Amino acid sequence: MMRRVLAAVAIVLAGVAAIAGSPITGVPDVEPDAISASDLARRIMDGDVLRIYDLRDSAAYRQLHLPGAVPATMNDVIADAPRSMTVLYGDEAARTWSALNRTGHRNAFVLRGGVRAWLTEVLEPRLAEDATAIERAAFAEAAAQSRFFGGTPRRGVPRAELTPAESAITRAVIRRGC
Amino acid sequence: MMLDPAGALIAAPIIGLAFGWFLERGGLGSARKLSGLFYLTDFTVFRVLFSAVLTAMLGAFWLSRFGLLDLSAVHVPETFLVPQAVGGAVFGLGFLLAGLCPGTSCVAGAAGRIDGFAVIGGLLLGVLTFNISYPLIDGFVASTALGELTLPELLHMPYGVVVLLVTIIAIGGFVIASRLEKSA
Repeated sequence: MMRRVLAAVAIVLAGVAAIAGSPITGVPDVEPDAISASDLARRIMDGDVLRIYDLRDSAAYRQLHLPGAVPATMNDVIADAPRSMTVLYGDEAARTWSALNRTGHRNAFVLRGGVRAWLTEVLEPRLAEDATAIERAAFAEAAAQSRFFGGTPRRGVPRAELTPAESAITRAVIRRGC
Repeated sequence: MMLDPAGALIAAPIIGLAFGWFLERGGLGSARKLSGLFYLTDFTVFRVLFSAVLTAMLGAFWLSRFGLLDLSAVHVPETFLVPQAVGGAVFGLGFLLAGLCPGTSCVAGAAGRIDGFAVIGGLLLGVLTFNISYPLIDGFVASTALGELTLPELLHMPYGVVVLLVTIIAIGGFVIASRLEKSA
């Protein structure tokens, strides 16, 4: 008897599920492969063959984009059918990654944290005034990357300000707009 | 909710103990019961495992639908078609010979069954052999990579419809299993 009740409950829950819509609306079916801003920076510095697509609107692209990035829409990327390592950023990055993944492209990555991560991790890395030896060692590499890309590493930042406020990021974007 | 490393260390043995307890109470510490599946005389394994699949699938769907679980944060392991099919065949052969799988061998061992300890020894030997021979087979292990496939993506069907299909298949399987057991 109990088995029949459980089976009936399962059928009802599954039946309603079939008309309840997707549980993950707006999110790709598969978690996209991601690359961190500092890893991407390292690959650019090493001269790796990369295709970088900026999937934001053209105004945002003109204000700031990653070195070597080309402005594109999801359809542009699919039409390009890149074969080399591909990095995507912008609101449409995850969906574009899923579309590329479905076409069999297994070497595409979404930039984790997008342009904001590029700004805070690569262009303007911060070192706390009370930084530990490990943090200082990690900062040395971040600072070298920052200088390579024309950024400004910042030392002696109060620990509470290690993650810059939105206004500071906006200022950084405007300062670098060209 | 994300557990910190200390919380995860506390949660892991609790979940592990609960998993072992339910396997044992489900009768899955017995090699006779497990090997009955291969002779179509005892479908306890099928029932326990598919009940778990249904519970997890319906739970994940509805928790996600109500915004309590972010399915995009759930890890989907990559599919490597041929190596995983070969691995499945080797696993099945070992399962049939031993009458236990890795989880149930630990349960059998914990319940004091000597065959459980023998299977744990065998699986550790298998893990060691795999790792030692890895440089020879790494090309094969990474072959036929299909990415992180899910059924809705593979079948190009809405998630909820796949949930309904799997539920119907599982419950149909339960009915067929009961009939086969009665006729055995």
